[in-house]
Amino acid sequence: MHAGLAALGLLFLLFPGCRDQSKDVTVYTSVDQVFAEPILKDFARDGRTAPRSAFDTEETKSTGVLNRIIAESAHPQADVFWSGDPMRALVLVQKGLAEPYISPNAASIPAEYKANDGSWTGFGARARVVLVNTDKVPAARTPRSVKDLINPAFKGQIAIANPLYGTTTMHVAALSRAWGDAETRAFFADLRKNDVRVASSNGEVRRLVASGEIAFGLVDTDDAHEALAEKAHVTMVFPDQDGMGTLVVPTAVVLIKNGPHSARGRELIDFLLTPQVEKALGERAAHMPLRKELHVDGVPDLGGVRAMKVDYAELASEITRLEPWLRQWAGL
Amino acid sequence: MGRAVGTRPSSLEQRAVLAAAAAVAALTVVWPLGALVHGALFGAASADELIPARTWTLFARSVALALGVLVGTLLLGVPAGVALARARRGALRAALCLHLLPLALPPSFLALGAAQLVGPGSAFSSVLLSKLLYGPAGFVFVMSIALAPVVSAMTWVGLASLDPSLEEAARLVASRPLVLAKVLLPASAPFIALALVLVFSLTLSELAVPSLLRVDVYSAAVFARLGGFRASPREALLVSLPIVAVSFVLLALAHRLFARVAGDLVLRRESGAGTPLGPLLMAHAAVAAVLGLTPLVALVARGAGSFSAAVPWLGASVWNGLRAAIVTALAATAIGVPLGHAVARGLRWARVVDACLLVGFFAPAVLLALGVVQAWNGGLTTLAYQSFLILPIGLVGRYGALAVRTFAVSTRGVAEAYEDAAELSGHGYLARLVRITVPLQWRALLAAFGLVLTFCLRDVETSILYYPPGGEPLTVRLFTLEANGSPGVVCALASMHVLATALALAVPVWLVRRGQ
Repeated sequence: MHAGLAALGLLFLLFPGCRDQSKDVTVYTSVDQVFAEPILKDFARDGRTAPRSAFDTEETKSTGVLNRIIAESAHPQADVFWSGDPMRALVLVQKGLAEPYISPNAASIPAEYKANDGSWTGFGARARVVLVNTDKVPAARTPRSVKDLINPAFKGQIAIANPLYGTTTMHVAALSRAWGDAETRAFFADLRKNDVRVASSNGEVRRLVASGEIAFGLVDTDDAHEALAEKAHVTMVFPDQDGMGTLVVPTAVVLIKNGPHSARGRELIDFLLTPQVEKALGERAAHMPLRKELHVDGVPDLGGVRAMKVDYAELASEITRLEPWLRQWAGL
Repeated sequence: MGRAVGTRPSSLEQRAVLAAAAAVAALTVVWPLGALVHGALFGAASADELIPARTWTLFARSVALALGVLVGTLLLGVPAGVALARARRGALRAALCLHLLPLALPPSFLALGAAQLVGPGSAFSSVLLSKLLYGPAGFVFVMSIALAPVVSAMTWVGLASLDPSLEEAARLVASRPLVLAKVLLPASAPFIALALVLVFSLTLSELAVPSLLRVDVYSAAVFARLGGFRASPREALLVSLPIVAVSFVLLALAHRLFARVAGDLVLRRESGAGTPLGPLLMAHAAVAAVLGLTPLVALVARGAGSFSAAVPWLGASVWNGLRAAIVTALAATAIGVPLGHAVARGLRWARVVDACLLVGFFAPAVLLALGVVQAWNGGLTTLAYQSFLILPIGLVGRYGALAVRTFAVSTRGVAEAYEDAAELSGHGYLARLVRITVPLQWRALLAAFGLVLTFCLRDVETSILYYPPGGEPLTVRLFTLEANGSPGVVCALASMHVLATALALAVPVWLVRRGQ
């Protein structure tokens, strides 16, 4: 009797683990779970099965699931990688792990934000901004350039996220392409001299600025919008608008080569690339639509922002070269 | 008189059972770590740098931080353990038992709770307190309150194992505090030392707390090689060598201490219980309990208004975590019984398997997790890798040693004569195991189950690298939501995890008490 009950209990524990997953599309994403999950749930609204998802932590943003895809490359488990930036998507392309797919819904995406062969496609973008605490920094001294982070007047009052992870990595690569090696390394050395606070994530930089613990820091537009929505005493500045511009970071989707459910993966990509999803991403996560005809209330239009001229594929190669030095800079 | 200790399995039955248990250890520890080493040695990954000087500095810093945590856990844990052993049953002991709760939770919860108290924008926010929390002092503090229960519990067990006549004899010539300081605690030293070995190991491998509190530690350097942009398992393996070396030292220490502890362990449930607690001891134990619980209270208070908003974010994560923990605890206990019994009876073969499982426990969690991905994703095992079963597979590799060791320690306290008598009357190995060994040690069985369950429920660092898509436990979900999730929702989810953990652990505790 007892043995029978125990066997039943064990079966109950194990049963859901053996459910048929043959039709489930699997997506790995480095887009913040808090924004990505509701959109992925929307995919299931038209009678489709909800995707099985794996998310990144903020600390390893964009690299945790990326490396998991690489580690699983002999037997891919993911069908789609929805990356928070195009650089990580391009790593998969460069490693031959992406299956080109030109979605019919990508036609209205500007050419500079997608690959010609469909190996990656960008949509809803963020930009790098300086988040400034208005209680600590008077309007007249508001930083206007990334280089204001090394202004000695703000020594110990600035923060960036760990440059080994997240969009900060991409920003470093973009700065390195724009300034060259020597100037970039000098800039980072000066950041150290200026007692920069290296936070675990952009979200942590946002918290530090919003609470007034520091004067300003580099974050993404979605972080800044969150601080503004919380009515924190902050303002968001697009840096270098009279110079090189700021880095624009579209999210990007990639179809994984030899994924277990490629057809369903294409369906998911088609869904993610609809104008409705791009708009929803703007409304929920303050991502700027790449499509010129789309406008989201409270979110700046991309047309009004001077963007850095970058080749995202070059940035992917650049960061691979820079990472050992960045680790050294971060003390790891 | 027992029979001479055999060093080889005595029957085909025993060989088959032990072989099955050994196969589990091989599949969950040896194979994953072997696949990782093979991939690192022969894979295409580049390793263009050996361990640089700065990494050694980081290692020294991590060891220093871990030593700080040892001091913190000693200061907090020993008095609380003494108080637990001395307190009468009832409200006082129940209150002191609450001090043990943080052990069942990811230490990052305590960091999160502490940030609700003194971090930016919080109730007692101040620049000084915030600077202290987000730095080495905060790390030592949080890890100390998170791991002090390990020391408390082992001190409690150590004191409960002492022969009461020892204390009575000492009391004839010395005061109670002197007896405690000069006789009882030194006699419990192996238990406390074993606890410190565990604390040191858990501190060295901790990743979430240092990243939340912005403290550079060595485990982050290992993780940077795996989680960074240019992932290199080979570099990660190289960089983890010092931790592996320390792990082997810890392993040897643990091995010796386990043997000492097992020799001493004869639980005398009433030993010392009810002895009056001095006011100083009482105050000290109260401080330890309050320090451990305050961050959790802050967490619950912060999340109180957001419980309904948090519910949609739960998904199936509570069930995912609970199910994986229960299956792991069942599997670990199932292999723990025959292996622990064989280790206690001196079977060399079982000791080798036990050593493999201990490597799984002491090796950096991220390495074991990456090994699980490399070993299990492919071929016949793909189906298991795609299902929720991959969570228990990795967790058995990580925490299986705890069940084996618990049962081994307990078995050493049981006379072999019972088994000898059964054997003489014609009972086979399995019959003796099921009808004699297990019933005599049902409390150890529940303790092994509860211990593994506890560690699985608090696990983040192992499962975060390979959890099945859509099948993440709540601890992982909290870590992935923490980034930009509303702080209220995150705290509410963490509070729900605290509640679920407390309920899950209440069952084995209730069963033990019912049995008593």
